[in-house]
Amino acid sequence: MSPEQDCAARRSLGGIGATETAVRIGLTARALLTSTLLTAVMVGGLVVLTASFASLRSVERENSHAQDVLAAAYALEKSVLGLQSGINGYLLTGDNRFLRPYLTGSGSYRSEQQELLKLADHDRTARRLAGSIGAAITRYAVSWAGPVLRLSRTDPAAARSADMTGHGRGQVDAILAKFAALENHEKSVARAQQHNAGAHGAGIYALGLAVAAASGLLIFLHAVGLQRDVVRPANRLAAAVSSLRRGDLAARVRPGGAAEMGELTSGFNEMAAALEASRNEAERRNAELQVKQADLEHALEVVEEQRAKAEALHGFGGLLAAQLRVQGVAEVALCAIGDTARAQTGALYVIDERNGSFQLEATRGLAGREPAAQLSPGHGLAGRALAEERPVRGTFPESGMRLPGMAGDHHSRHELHLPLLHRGRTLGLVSLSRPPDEEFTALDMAALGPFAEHAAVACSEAVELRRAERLAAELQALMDSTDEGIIRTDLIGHITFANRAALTQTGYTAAELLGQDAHEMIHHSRPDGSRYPGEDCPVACAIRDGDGIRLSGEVFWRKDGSQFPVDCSSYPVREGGALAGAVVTLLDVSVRTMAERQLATEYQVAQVLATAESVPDALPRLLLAACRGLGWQMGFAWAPTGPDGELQCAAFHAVPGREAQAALLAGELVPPGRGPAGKALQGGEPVFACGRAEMITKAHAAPWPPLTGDLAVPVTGRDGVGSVLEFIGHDNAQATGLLETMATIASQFAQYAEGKRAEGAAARMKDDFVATVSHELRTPLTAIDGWLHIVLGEEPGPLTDEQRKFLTTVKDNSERLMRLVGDLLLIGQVDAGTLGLERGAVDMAQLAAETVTLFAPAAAAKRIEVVTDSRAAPVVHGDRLRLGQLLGNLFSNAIKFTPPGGKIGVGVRQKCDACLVEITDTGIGVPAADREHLFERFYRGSGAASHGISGTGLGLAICKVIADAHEGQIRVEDGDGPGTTFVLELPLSARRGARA
Amino acid sequence: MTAQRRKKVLIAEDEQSIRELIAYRLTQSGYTVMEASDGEEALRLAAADTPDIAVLDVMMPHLDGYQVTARLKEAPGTARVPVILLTARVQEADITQGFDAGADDYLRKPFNPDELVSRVRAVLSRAEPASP
Repeated sequence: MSPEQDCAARRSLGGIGATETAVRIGLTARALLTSTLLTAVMVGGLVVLTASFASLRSVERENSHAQDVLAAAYALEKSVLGLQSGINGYLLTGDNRFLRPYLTGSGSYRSEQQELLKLADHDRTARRLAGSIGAAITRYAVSWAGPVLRLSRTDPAAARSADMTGHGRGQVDAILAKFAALENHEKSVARAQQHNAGAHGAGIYALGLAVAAASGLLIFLHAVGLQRDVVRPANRLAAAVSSLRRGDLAARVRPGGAAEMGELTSGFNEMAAALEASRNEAERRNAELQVKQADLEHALEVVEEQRAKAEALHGFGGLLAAQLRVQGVAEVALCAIGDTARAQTGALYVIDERNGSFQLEATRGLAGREPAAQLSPGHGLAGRALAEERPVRGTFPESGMRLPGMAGDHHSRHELHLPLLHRGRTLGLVSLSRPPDEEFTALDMAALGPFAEHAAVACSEAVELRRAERLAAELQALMDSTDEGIIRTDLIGHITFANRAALTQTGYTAAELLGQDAHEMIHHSRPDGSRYPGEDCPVACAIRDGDGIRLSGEVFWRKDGSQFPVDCSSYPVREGGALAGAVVTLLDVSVRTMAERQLATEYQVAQVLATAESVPDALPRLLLAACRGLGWQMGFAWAPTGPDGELQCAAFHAVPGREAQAALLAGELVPPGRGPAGKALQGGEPVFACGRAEMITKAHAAPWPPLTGDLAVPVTGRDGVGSVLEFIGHDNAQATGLLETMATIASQFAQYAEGKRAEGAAARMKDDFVATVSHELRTPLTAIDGWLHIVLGEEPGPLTDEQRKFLTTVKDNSERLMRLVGDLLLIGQVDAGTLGLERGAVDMAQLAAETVTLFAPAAAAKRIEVVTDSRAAPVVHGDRLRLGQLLGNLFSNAIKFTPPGGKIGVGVRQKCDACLVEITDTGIGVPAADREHLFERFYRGSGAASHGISGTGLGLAICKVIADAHEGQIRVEDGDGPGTTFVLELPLSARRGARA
Repeated sequence: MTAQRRKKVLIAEDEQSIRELIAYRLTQSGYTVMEASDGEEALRLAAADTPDIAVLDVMMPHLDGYQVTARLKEAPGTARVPVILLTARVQEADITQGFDAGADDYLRKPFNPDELVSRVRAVLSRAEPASP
């Protein structure tokens, strides 16, 4: 029932209620009115009667009161009279007996006086009169009777005379008059009241009569109304009820009757009408029910049909559920849909999730005539169904659009293309065809709809599965492509996945690792081999606690018990917010670690070489650093110092426990070409020798574990291979991996050795220079000092010939000293860059001639023939003094190195724009090895030393310095054997570029 | 000294002016001198006529003073000849090398000729007591 209807019903009920209430009020009002009227009349009469009787009783009470007042007045009056009479009697007689009335009166008048006052209080007049009486009595008793009585006791005569005055009498008379007034007043009051009482009695009688008449009228009227409004309608109703009971549903009562009776009548009529209507409705419904039963029977048939369809659909669902793969689903789906559609042929296409194309997955009745492998949306009927996402029907030839490969010689005329839609996504398409006389109807399409939906769901799942599998395969490929080991664990650290790199690193198979505790399998021990409890392991803790960590320097263990250094990390994996495990990555850093060790070792070696004093000091420390840093078991330094050029051990190092073995090896002489060291010495290249050390170990028959790695690297300096470093280790792999580092170390050492050699040479040269200069300075000084000492120590006097000779020697030595000092200063100037030339035109031929002349005595002393050949007179722009010094040095050298009786040639000539000066001698010559160094400072040729020729090693150096300053050059001509030719070449245009 | 024969001093010095200086001063002081201008000559002279003492310059061509000293000490005839080395070298190593070679004393150049005479005399007197 709607709210509006409900509301209307309530209103209607309210209306009925209101009518009933009105009627009931009407009936009740009548009854009440009649009763009330009757009661009011009777009660009113009673009340009036009662009030009248009460009024009568009041009048009687007031009469009685007046009687009481009068009685009290009379009593008081009697007492007053007793007073008077008693006094009069006493006065007259003097007898006390006559005084008795007085005594009685004086004893009672006061209380009687009070009584009267009390009773007279109801009436103002009575009260005034009573008061006046009281006051008069008191005055009489007190001011007259009393004094007179007392007087009489003393003076009866006076008393009697006083009495005789009549004063007392007058007072009594006045009092009696007052009593009479009071009596009159009370009697008049009583009379008035008796009159009133008589009037009341008549009224009460009249009222009683009126009440009785009204009551009788009312009862009559009530009886008439009852007959008309209730009794007659009730009789009519009873007759109608009887008719109704007899089955006359058309029986009705004439409307009428007051109030409830009217209602009852109309209610009866309505009820009768309702009964009649109900009977008619029941008959109508019965007819309807018969119709509905027929409908129900039909519906039941339909339901049965649908149940069969649902069962078929359910069976189809079961078949689909058994298929996981796309192709299986397609085949099952096409079979069931084709059967349901009674299709001759069919094809099913499923989406390829990678590119969105539709690929043929199953066919029906198309043996040998495969349709197109792929569909394009929008192309053909099938394409239209795909594009519009709705079933499309077609009939040939009208449509003209055939499913490719479906028609042909097959006489299919009607086609249906059903897209497989699931959640708004097209997952595939079923194409079906029937013979010409079997058109696809809307009914067919409706029947196929649920099958298509089922097939779509199954396709969706199969496609998702295929996508997941492809993704998994891709992920696997990705995981396997990295060199970083990746391990997935569950919450308690058990391995659930390990990629290829992790298996390679650890040496386990996937089957061995999966389900195992990761820590116990590959991280069970510390680097020193001691047990590594899981609770101490930060990786295990991170997996358990869901923390992300990154660690380096961890050591993990392979299946074969070996360890490998790792940079590892652990990341928590969460599924839906809850911790689900961790991904642990392992980066094998052994290669990097080895590289770091190599670098560190190279640094260590560099440190050793930087601090080592000498090669013998450096070698053992170098071998120690290399062995310690790179894990070699032994290291040897070989030098070809054996008697026949064999390699002899210069130093060796061995790890603890192998010293004896190393000492045995070190004690051997290694001929060139034998063993790795000998081969390295000969070939100048690093040499591996796998197994040599093992062989040696066996040969020594000692309990040393075999060493199979042997690497010899040559130490190659400027003059070729100077020595060989040989290292022996556990295996050849190590040796191979360290080749480059060992070569670097050998190269470092070679540089060091070369440096030390050069350092030694420089030091020796310095020592030689100091010795030479010292000798060259001290020798003339010794002569000068010694001779002067002798001369000065002799007796004074004229200079003797001998003394003059001594002093000449002193002078010669002094000059020699000055030349030396000059040479040294010149070298100093060159070094300081302050060598100055005083240039001018210098005739070289002339200068040569002068030089020859200058040294002629020295040459003559050694019987040396000097031949001068000056064919030209070239003039150069130069410093005559320095050039003279140059020629002098060359010429004096020639004399010095030419044995007595030899020959010196001096030639000056012009060649192009240069002046050539050649000085040739027949002396000892300059060995080829010396030529290179001949012009170096302080270098003294081997000939000079062996022939006892003194000198500072500065002469030729100064020659070169002067030649260079003149942009010229000086050289010694090649040629072995005796004789030397020095050539000085100076530019003729020396002005150009001159510095001074 | 006059009562005894004149002592023979072998002088080996390649520098003529110094050799003459030494010879002159020693002769003045009553010694007989034998002069050599290099080491080989000195050895020859010493072998021919054993000197009482040798004064040898260190830096000489062919054979230096150390070598000559060593050879003298090696040869039985001259093994007891005391040697004074004259050296222009100043380093400790040079001096040590001289003593190692068997020298008895050394004198640094430049030297006072009188001091050389004193040294010769002192070295000879140290060697004397052994001989009758």
